[in-house]
Amino acid sequence: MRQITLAKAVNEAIAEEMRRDPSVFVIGEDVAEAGTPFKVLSGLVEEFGTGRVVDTPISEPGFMGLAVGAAMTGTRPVVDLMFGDFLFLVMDQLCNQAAKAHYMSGGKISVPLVLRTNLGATRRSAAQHSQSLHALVAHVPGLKVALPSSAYEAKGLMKTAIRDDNPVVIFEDKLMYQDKAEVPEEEYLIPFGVANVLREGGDVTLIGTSSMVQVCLAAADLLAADGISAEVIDPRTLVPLDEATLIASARKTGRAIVVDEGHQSYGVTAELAARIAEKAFYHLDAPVLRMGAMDVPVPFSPALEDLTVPTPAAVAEAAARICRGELVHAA
Amino acid sequence: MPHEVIMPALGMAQDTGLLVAWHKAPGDPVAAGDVLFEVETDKATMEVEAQGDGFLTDVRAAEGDDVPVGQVIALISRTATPAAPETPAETPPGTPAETPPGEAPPQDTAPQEAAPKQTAGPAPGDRQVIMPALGMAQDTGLIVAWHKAPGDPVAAGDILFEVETDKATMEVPAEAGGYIAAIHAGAGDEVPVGEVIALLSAGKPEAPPPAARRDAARNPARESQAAPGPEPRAGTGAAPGPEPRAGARAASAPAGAAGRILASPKARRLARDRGLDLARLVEAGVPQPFHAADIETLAGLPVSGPVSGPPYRGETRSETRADGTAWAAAGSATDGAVGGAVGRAVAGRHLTAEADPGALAVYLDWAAGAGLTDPGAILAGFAAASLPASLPAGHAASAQGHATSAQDHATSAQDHATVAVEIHGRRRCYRVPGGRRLGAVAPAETGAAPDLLLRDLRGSRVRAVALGPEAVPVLTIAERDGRLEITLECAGDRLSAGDAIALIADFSGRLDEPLRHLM
Repeated sequence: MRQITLAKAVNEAIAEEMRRDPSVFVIGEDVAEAGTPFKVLSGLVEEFGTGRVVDTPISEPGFMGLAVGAAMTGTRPVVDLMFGDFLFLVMDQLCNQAAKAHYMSGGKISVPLVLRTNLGATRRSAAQHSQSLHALVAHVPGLKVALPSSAYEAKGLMKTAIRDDNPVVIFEDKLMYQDKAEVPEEEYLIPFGVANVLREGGDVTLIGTSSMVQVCLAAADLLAADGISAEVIDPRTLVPLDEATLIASARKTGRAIVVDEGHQSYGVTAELAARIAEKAFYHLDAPVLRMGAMDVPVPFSPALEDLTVPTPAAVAEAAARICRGELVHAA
Repeated sequence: MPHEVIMPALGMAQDTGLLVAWHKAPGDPVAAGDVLFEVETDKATMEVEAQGDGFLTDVRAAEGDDVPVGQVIALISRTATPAAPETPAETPPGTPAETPPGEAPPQDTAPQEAAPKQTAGPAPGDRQVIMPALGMAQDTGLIVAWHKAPGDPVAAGDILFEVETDKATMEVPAEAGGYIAAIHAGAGDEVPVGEVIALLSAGKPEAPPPAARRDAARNPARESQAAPGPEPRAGTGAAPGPEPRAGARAASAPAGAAGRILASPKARRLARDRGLDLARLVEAGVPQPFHAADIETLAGLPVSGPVSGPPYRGETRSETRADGTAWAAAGSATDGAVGGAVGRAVAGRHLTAEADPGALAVYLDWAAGAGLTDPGAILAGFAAASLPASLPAGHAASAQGHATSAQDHATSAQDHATVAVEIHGRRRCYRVPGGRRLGAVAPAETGAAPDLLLRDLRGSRVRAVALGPEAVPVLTIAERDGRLEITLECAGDRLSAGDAIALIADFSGRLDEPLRHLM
């Protein structure tokens, strides 16, 4: 099967949906003329013109507000938010308006909008361009949140997002744009709320999101060398969440580690670990561990930045310790 | 005690507030939340509410006054009478209100006027020194230092003590002269606003104040209060060391003096489901925390409590030893240095299997219609048919008093077997001839020595058993979650691992599909 980059997969997904549905359009900074952010959207303006690939001034609240209004009136905007860090700029438009319009209008208004943005550190982009803020929006009822972990996932989830009648926030890992994966030529969609079991195992469950899926797979390889069989699961979407698959796996293995690149405190790892602890409690043979990004602003120094994110070796070590039955975090 | 009303800071850069209007007059009753006055700043006019209940007294600012932020402009007192009539408007902000408890005004008859509990035994004429309110939102004040000791003479205006709030440290002067009669709160104490912290007497105290009080005044009370904590702990020699390093396997002793056993939720659930006691793992010296894998070890431990005690009834023990089997060796290891329950764990076998109860119920109904009305006989037939050919025939019968039976068994288990069936504690024995014809299963005398014991616990509340090996292999049937749970327990020498597995698998299969028995 052909292999394409994650950037190309996203590009294909948007282009296919724009061909399929004339109400789909792209809006954001530099999406048309300036080479497009992370070169993901190159070629779109040539095919669809500036009427459907809309460059905006540098005002995230402005174009986000425009897109929410456009979605309310019957179009399907794909909003390009150049860095996930800029979510803080569009909070009202996204969380107070887009997320709640359907509810507040008694179902009369829908906001079929996709907010494309990214996460991920270790790009040497410093504290204001390196955050992974998906927990922030997953916390707000009314928003769906997808976290593609490969080119294949990115294309299938993007097409599902564009066709969804609710606001969806998709976080791409900005370090994976040039990573290739097998992506079929023929059309496919990946449904929301269906976790992906990438590797089956019996000793410990590693739940990874987005950038951390690859980390978990690499950790599983390290563990296999030690005779420990790790199951690796990618939830794919935080909202809706395929809780059943996570819990079934934790019940099976009796041990679980949740790995996510958002800050650890009050984050995705906390939520998933809590659900497992609540619903698989009597099957757990070890505490559920959280491994998130360090609770610090992401450092600019490469040496320091690399220390803030979970690594395969760290995940494997933690998994080996709970598999050995060592006391972890016990008072 | 009176509550001070001060000019609040309503803005970050506000120095003064213009008192626009009073909503209460002196002597008016005031409830917390009532609007007291209006104040105008450079930004807005706001109403200021009372923070406590009482009567508005000692009003020191008039409408139209521009009052510095923080200045006391009135008091909310327990009575309508001014709290400090002798010191009206010139009272500096933050001055502690001193009230003569023994000289209550005549109209002051409210029962809540009782002296605060800290002022036990003030002499008539003593004045109370209270912790002043130095800010609007201040609940307590930290006494930094006393400038006077008990017995010291004090002149009005002398600095009595220093108090620290969240904002600043301030010196508090004496309102009146006299002598320090008592100090109730020492340096280092955090005292609620309004609480009495000292007494001033008019005359020199006759007896020197108690030494303890003097110590409290000289030494930071924080130290003297903290002392009882660490000292006894250090004295016991049981002070907890640094927490065990993460990753360090806990010591074999029960972790934690509280005696709570450390075990994973899964291990606890498995132990509970199988009726096993985790404490026995502790006795056996298995290191904590316990995990699911440790439950298998636990299941293999004999039931007997203390390690020193005989593992089984003496009769059984001597009997098996007389056989010179592996069990005897394992039993003797108990007495040796290796010893302990772990040593004995090898001696027992504990296997579980499960089966669907539906088919058995149907089969028993059918059998009853065909004249086989004793379910015990049918179960005995199933069990006997499952016995491996290698089971040493007549072993169980070698006990004294069963010589006749022993002779019977001297032939071969293939010819016939004796199965004891216990249902609800009632024991019946069956003689099962070779072949599988259930109709040929016949009751035997109750005292007959069986080759196998079958306990039917269906219908009871027991879900799983781990009773340890008995003289003969024991099959137990229990109900659990709508399934039949079958347990086989026996001494290690009685059945090889393979035979034990074959026995329980065969028997469970017969329960699961009784028609198999006919084939």
